[in-house]
Formats: sequence, C-alpha cells, structure tokens
Amino acid sequence: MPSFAEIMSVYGLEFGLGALAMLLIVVDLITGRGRLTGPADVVRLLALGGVSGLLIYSFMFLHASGEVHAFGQLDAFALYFKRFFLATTLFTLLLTAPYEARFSGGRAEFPVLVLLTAMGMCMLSSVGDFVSLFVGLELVTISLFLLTAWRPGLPRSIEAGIKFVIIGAVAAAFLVYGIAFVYGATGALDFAGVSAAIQSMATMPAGLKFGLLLVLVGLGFKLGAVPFHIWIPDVYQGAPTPVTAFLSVGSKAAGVVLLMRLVYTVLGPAAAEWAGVLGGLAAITLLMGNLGAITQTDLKRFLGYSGIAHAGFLLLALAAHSEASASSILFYMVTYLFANMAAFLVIIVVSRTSDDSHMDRVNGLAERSPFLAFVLLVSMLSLAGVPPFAGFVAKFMILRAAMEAALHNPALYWIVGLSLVMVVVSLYYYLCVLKRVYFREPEDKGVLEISGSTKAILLLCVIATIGLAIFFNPLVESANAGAQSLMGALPQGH
Amino acid sequence: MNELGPWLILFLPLLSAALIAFGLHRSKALSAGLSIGVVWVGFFIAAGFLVDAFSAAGGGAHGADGHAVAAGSAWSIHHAIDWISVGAHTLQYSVFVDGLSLIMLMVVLGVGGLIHIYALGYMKGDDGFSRFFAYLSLFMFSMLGIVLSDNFFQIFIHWELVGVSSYLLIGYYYKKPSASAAGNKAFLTNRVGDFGFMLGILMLYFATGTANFTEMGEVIGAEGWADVQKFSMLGTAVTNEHFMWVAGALTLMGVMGKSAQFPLHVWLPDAMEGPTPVSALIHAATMVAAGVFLLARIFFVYLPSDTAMSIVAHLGMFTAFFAATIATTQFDIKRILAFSTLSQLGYMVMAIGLNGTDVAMYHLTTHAFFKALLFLGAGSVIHAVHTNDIREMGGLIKKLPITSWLFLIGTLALCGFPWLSGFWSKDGVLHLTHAPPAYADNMLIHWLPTFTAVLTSYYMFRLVFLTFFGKPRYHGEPHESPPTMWVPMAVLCLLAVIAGPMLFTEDVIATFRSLTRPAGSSPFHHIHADANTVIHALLIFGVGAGAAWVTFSRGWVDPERIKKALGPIHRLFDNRWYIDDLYTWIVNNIQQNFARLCDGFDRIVIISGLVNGSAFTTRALGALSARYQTGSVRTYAMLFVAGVAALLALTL
Repeated sequence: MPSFAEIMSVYGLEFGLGALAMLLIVVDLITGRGRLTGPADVVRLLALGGVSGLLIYSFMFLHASGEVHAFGQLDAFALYFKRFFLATTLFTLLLTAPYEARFSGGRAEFPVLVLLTAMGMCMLSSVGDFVSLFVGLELVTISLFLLTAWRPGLPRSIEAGIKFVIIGAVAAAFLVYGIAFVYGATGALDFAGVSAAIQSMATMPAGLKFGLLLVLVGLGFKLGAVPFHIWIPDVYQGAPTPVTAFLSVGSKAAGVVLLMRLVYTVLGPAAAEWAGVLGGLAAITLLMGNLGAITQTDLKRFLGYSGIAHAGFLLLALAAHSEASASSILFYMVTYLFANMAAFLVIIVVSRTSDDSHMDRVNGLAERSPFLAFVLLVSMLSLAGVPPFAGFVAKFMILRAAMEAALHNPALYWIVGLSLVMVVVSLYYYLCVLKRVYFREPEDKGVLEISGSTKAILLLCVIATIGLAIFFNPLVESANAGAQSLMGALPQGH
Repeated sequence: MNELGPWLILFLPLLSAALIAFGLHRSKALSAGLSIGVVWVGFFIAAGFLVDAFSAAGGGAHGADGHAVAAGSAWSIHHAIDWISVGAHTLQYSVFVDGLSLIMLMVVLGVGGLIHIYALGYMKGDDGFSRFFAYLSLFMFSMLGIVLSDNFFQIFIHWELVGVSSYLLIGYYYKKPSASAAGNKAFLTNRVGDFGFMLGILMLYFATGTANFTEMGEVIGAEGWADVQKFSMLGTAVTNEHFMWVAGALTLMGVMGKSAQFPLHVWLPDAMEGPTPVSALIHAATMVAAGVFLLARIFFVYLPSDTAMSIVAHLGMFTAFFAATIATTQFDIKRILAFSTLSQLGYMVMAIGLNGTDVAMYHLTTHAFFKALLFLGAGSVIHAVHTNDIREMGGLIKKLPITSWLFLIGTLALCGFPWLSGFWSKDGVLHLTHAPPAYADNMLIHWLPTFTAVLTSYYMFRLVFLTFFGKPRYHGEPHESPPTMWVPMAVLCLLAVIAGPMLFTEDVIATFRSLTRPAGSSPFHHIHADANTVIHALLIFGVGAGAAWVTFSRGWVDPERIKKALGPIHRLFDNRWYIDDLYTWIVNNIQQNFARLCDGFDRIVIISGLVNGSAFTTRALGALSARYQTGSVRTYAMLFVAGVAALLALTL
C-alpha cells in the first residue's frame, strides 16, 4: 500500500486542483449568489489565482523523478504535460470572462467543472495502469459533457452535449471492452505488467491485439483521429466557445498523452508492428481533416476540422516512433496551444453581438480592429506552419523526425509526402479566413472595442507564437527531456 | 562595462526604434532626442573601449624602432550566446570588438551621431520627422550588428537588415515616384549581390566547417585554398581550389552589392533621392563602407590566392577610375558626390587587394569624415536654393559663407591637399600602387589610380567653382543654415583637417594601423610626408584643380569645346558608360521575354491545369467529406462503429 506522501509526490497538483474546486463551491455557498457577477468576481479570481499559483508552483518546486510507482509516476514527460494542462486551464478560465454575457451572468459551477476536468487531465499524464486511465479519462469526459451543454437557453448547445454523451459513451464502451481483453490476454492491468507480458510473447495473440485496438479507438476518440472524429464538428460548433477551446487543446492533449504512454511504454519494442496502424490513421486523418475544413463556413467548426488535421500530424509523429518524434509532439502541442487559444479568443470577441460564429463575423476585421486582424494572421499562419511562426518549427521538427524514421520504414515517405500536400491544402483554407479578414467588406463598420485584459492575453499568444519560432531552444530542451524520460521507461532490448 | 557595453551599443538603437514606432512617435522632440541620445551613449562606451585598446596596444608600440607593433593586437572583447542549435550546428549571436570593429564602431557612431544632430535641423517641419528618426535608429542597429558580428550568419542577417533600412530611408519621400523607384532599385540590386553572398557563405561554411571568422581564418590560414577539405558533395570530393574560387567570388558579390562596386554600382547614384542626411550617413560614411569592412574582416579568404587578391585589386582600381570619369560630366550635386564615393570605395577595395587592409581602413575613416561633411554641405546648399542642379547655383559663397568654406575644406581633404587628412590616407593608397605586391605589378596599377586622383581634383573643383563662385544663377534668396546643421559640419571639418598626424602622432597612427591590420597581412608601409610625397600630391591636386579653374572659373576654355573634342568619350562618360542602359536592355529584351514565356507556362499549365484543377478536385472531395456529416447522431454512432469494424478488419 503506497503511503500518502508517495501519492502526494505524484498527484500533488491534482489534489491542489481538487481542493481548489471544493474551495470554490464553499465560497460560492457562503457568498450565496450562485452566479459570476463580473470579471472581478471572487469565485473567478480564486480560480484564476489558484491555477496560476499551481502553475507557478509546478515550475518552481516540482521536479521530475525517475521513480515509478504502481499508481503512476512524475517523470519529466508527465510534468511537461501537467504544466501544459494547467496552462490550458488558465487560458480557458481567462477566455470565459469575455464570454460571460452569453451565460446570462454565468454559473459559479462552471469554473469548478473546468478545474475538475483539469484534475483529470493532469492525472492522465501520470497514470500507470489501465484502471486509473479509465477513471481519469471519464473524469475528463463527463465534466466536458456538462460544460458542452452549459447554455440551457440554446438548443444547439444541448444538442451538442447529447451527441457528445452518446458518441462518448460508445467510445468509452469500446475502451473498457478493450481493457478487459488486454487483462484477459496478459493477466495484468498496470502498464509495467502488460508491457512485460507483451515482451515475453513471441507473437501477439489476436485477443491482445483486439484489446489494444479497442483501447486505441477509445483514445482516438479523444484525439480526434478519423474515423473517431465524427463528433467533433457538431460539438465544437455547439459548445460555448471557451469550452470549444478547452476541448480542442486540452481534450486532444489528453488523448496525446495517453497514446504516447501506451505506444512508448506499454507496447515498447512491439510498437514497430503498430507503425502501420498509426501511419494509416495518420494518413486518413490528415486527408479527412484538411479536406473537410475547406468547405466550412462556421469558424468553430472550421477550427474543429483544422484540429483533426493537426491530430493527423501528431499521429504521423507517433508512427515515426523515435525520441526525436516524441520530442517534436511535445513541442507541437505548445505551439498549437498558443495559436488555437488566440484564434478562439478572437472568435469570442467578434461574435460578441451576434452570438454565432459564422465566418462572416471576421469579414473586414482589419478595418474594425487591426490588432485583432493581426492576431488572427499570426494564429492562422502558425497553424498553417508558415515561418516565422512557431507552427513552422513544430511542423519542421515532426517532418524531420518522420524523414529520419522513414529510413527504416519507407512507407512513412508516402505519409510525409501526403502531409506536405495537405500542408498546401491547409494553407488554402487558412488564407481564405485571412482573405475575409483583410479584403472583405465588414458587415458592421463599427470599431471593435477590446478590453485591456483581452488585449494582454492576445498579445501574450502572439509574442509566444513568434518568440517560439526564434528562441525555440529552451522549449526544445524541455521537450527533449520529456521525450527522454518517456523512452527511458522503455524496457531494455530496443 | 566590458560585459554589458557592446550589448548596449548594439541594442539601444533597436530599443529606440521600437519605442518610437510603438508610441513615442507622437512626440517629435522625444523621438529625435531618444534616437540621438542612444547613438551618443554608444559612442562614449566605444570611446572607453578605444582608450583600453590603445593602452593595451600602445605597450607594444614602442618596440625596437619605436613604431613597430605586433600584427593584430591581442586586445578584444568577445561575448557570444548560443542562439539556435540544431544537431551539430550551433548558430551564435555575438558581440565581438577587436581593433578592426572598434575603429568601425567609432566611425559609425561618431559620424552617425553628428549626422543625427544635423538631421534635427534638416528634417525640421517634415511630416514624417519621428518616422525618420525611427528608421535612422533601425539603421544604426543593423549596421552595428555587422560591425560587432563574429560570424558569417549573424553578419548576413544584419546585412539584410541594413538593406531593409536603407530601402526605407531611400524611399523616405515615398509619395515621390522617383524616390520609391530608387528604393526599389537599391533593394533589388543589393538582392543580386546578397544572393551570391549567401551562397558564398554556405560554401565557405561547408568548406571549413565553421562560420566563425576567427576559426575560419585559422582553417584557411593553416591549410591554404588547396587543402581546405571537410566535405564531399554527393559522394564526390570536390576539387577544393575550384570550390574556393567559386566561394570567394560569390562572397565578393556581397561586397560588390553593398559597397556599390562595378558592376553592381548602379543603385548608389539613384539612392541620392533619399534625404541628404541619409546620403551622408548611409551612402557615404557607413553602409557602403560595410562592404570594405567585410572585406577587411574576411581578408583571410582571399589571402592564400595571389590571383584572387589581384582580382580584388583590379576590381577596386577599375571602379575608382570608372566612377571618377562619370563624375566629371554630372550636374546633380549629390550625384557627383555619389560617384565620388564610388570612386573612393574603389580605392579602398583596391588597397585591400594590394594587401593594405590598414591603409584601406584608414582611408575609410578619413573618407567618412570628409565625405559626410561634403554631403552635409550639399544638403545645406540644397536646403538654401531648393535644387540639386549646380547649373542653377553659382556665387553662393557670399550667401552661405560658413557652408561654402566648410565645403571647400572638405573638397581639399578629398583631393589629398597636403597635410589634410585625405593627403595621409590617399597617399597611403597611392604609395601601395607605386610599389604593389608582385601579383599585381603592372602599369595600370601603377598609374591609373594616380590619374584617377587627378580626375578627382578636377570634378570636385568643377563642382566647387560652379556652385560657390562665379555669377549667381540661383533663384530666390538663399539663407545660411541653422547652427544644428553647420555645427556638426564644423566638427566633421575639424576631423577632416586633423585626422592626420596633427591629431594623431605617428605613434598613434601606427597603433591605429596595427589595430586594423589582420594577421597575415604584409608589414605596413609608413607614410612619410617628405618633399617627394608633398610634391607628388600637389602635382595631382594642381593639375586637376587647375584644369577645372581654367574651364569653369576663368572660362578660358569652353566646356562645350571639350565635349566636342572628346566626342564619343564624353558621351560614354555622360551616359555612365551605358551600364544602366545595358541593364535596361537586358531587362527589356531578355528578361521580359523569358518572363513572358514563364508567364504563359504559368497561366496555361500551372494555373489552369494544376492550381484550378487541384482546387476543383479538393473542393469536390471536401464537399464529399462533409456530406456524411448529417447532424444525425444515429448516423454518427453507426459511422463510428463502422470505423471500428474497418480498423479491426484491416488490422487483424
């Protein structure tokens, strides 16, 4: 039985997030309003302060350790993702403030649910067995169901919530079923045990393969890999925009972190056999995501497809299966975070009055607010992977890692080639958005007022997106450390 | 200060440019004040270094014969940070102050600082006043980055930045079509040079395995051209001598573009469309000198090959002569000075080719003083009479006495009148040409530069007589410029007069020259102001200035008759040797036809076929992929399960 101190050494941040959520509920009860009353509401400030505090704490006082416990571990990889999730949560909370009017005052439970989701996400970066994996994943998914349906007055939001619940339930069923098969084939539920069992086998029995594939389905659902992406467009469009941002970055990253653990730690050397499956998924995801994005007319739906396309890139890196590719995924996620959060915040600002996110809202944005137009420019070009923005460096790193891996696995050349063609396609649809921003006549010629805090957040994203393209070394180093710790956990013999 | 100083020198101007661009531009006084302030702060930091350097080098200056200084003084400051590391390649960003860059720093910051002050008066009342100072600060940052760089990649980045800021400043009056056209011309011409420069840098990097000047110098210095071998291309070893030939020539293209050497010189005369302080700062004293500075920096690349050195020398010699001939026929005061600048830059390049880097750097310094002075003087004249055409001036000495006298002294310095600064530096160069190294020992090198010096005196005094003496031909009532304009000129004039042994004792000059002389260069020739040299200089001056005097002051010889007598030669000079026409012809007849061909291919094959075709296909596919997105959750669940089934079926 692990001691409390041992558990805290791995799950300290999660306890912090949970305690913060409880504190918010208590404070809300005491003040007795049940609603957020403005940007300076005490509940909101507590949530923001708490998450910032935890983020700072994680940078200053948390250190990666090589110790592997039965219930999980805090290696450099887990720590990297915990910080990533905390940053994502912080952005989500910040994005909520300018969106609040559409909650008609906003419920104080909203930040609580966001914190609980974050707790689940952080937990997922450390888990060491399939049971915790399932618990963590459901904590994330169920909280997100609620958040998606958070606008009772809006049928589209409810509809999105219901669709999300149903497809999510299907995915969860496959996941549990898969876990059962894995247990049946290996007699273990912890990653180390399953990995050892897999290594002791000469060839993988069909039952184990079947189980693992179903686990892959469950995680592919989170990641947004085709064909398990089917929920994304509708849910992204219907959910409140801050939740969509949270889904697109946080939820996707939850899928990424688990897939990486699974592929690098559990499968270990056997992963080479899986390159085909992952590569195939990457190819079809790249294709569907990019082609689907072309015809979209709703900004959130559009970013949903763009997110699917990015998932394709991440799967490509997973298929490459090297330390360099693992490191490039970690880097990619951070660049994706800043570009995506900036885009969603711009959507929140431009759709403030009309309450929908049709692409016409950004028409002529350059005339109404040159600053917002510039932010969107940086964000779109970074997502497309154009230098000198961080997205370029990230894509470059993935492609380089994939090309290196292709020396041993020539099939990857085809997927790299396809991804390059798809980058060109993506440039088309990202530029279409920018064409609206800079060359279309605005529907409403009024100047868009932006609050100081919104401006500050956007500026941060822009600076980070440009800065990471020029001074990428520090982040690359910590991504390398994360990748090393992940590969280090790999059983010998590779 | 040694730790922080160079970084401050480099980044304060960038900070200034950023602050002005992001808000400070609302206040003209603050913008100008900040921009001027940072240059002078930098100047005083650099002056501190100069004191250090001289005391460090001065110890060795009193050797056995009193003047000998060990080549390449050991004094230097070097800080580098790793900027980007990819695999085995690390790109550093650094500040490197050694003797050579220190001298360049003093010139850039000192002359630059004076011109900043002058601009305060010259640009007064202009709408873009703050914008102008923001550009100036950006330029200073770019230029200082070249000076302080210790590696090729950093220098290339700043090389391009200098190109951009020069473009912005030339096209400063962007509403004037000729100004923006001149900006484009400068930018595009430099692009040609810079493209070669980049290829050259990459080749040198491949050949030596480093981009750092010191390390590259050690590799090439130790192994010579033939044995530099760190690579093979596509499995075949490249014959290194040939490789280095191409690398050296391509790198030289960068120098030719930035320092406006023949045949990439065409942009400089047009660049005079910019405001005059810009002409003085960028197109006379600093940026165009960057090419010469670079050549001094990477001297080691050419040193192993006598032929390469000889080519550099002849290139400089020809540019000097070529530009001087054109200057004799021009009527635009700034263009005459521009061609004169070309000509003097040619002298510097030639001096480097003749293994006289220290002399070249000395001439660069004195030239910066008197050419900046001449440009500022021209600006003052233009400010007063509102025209650039010297045929519409004349007799201005009565109206603009201060400007006229300062200009006259600057002219004397340029013509190498004894004991002014130009005398010492130009005589150093001519001394080299009279006793050249064996690889470049021919009649042309011996005599053409001397003849060019005669031409220099001729065209400068033609300018002086037409502008300041004789009958007034100007319109309106010219007034002397305000003190913000003539005080910087006076300071430059003082420097132009005394930047010889009057300011610097022979020991100081010896130290100066030892600081700017890279390792491997031949022992330097000392300048002696003996009777022979003085007579030589006076003769050159007298013949040129005398010819101008009899023609343009006395009128004993009618200029029209000279034109007739010279016939085609005059037309050749007047049309700038038809180089611009040649380029126009090439563009119109060859490039345009080629472009039409490409355009047709582009329209028919690329756009109609590939672009529209693929756009059509992708759109169709996109519509198809959106079709299954029905909105019905039953369909979704079914598709999801079908996807799982397909995955299982394909994998198991």
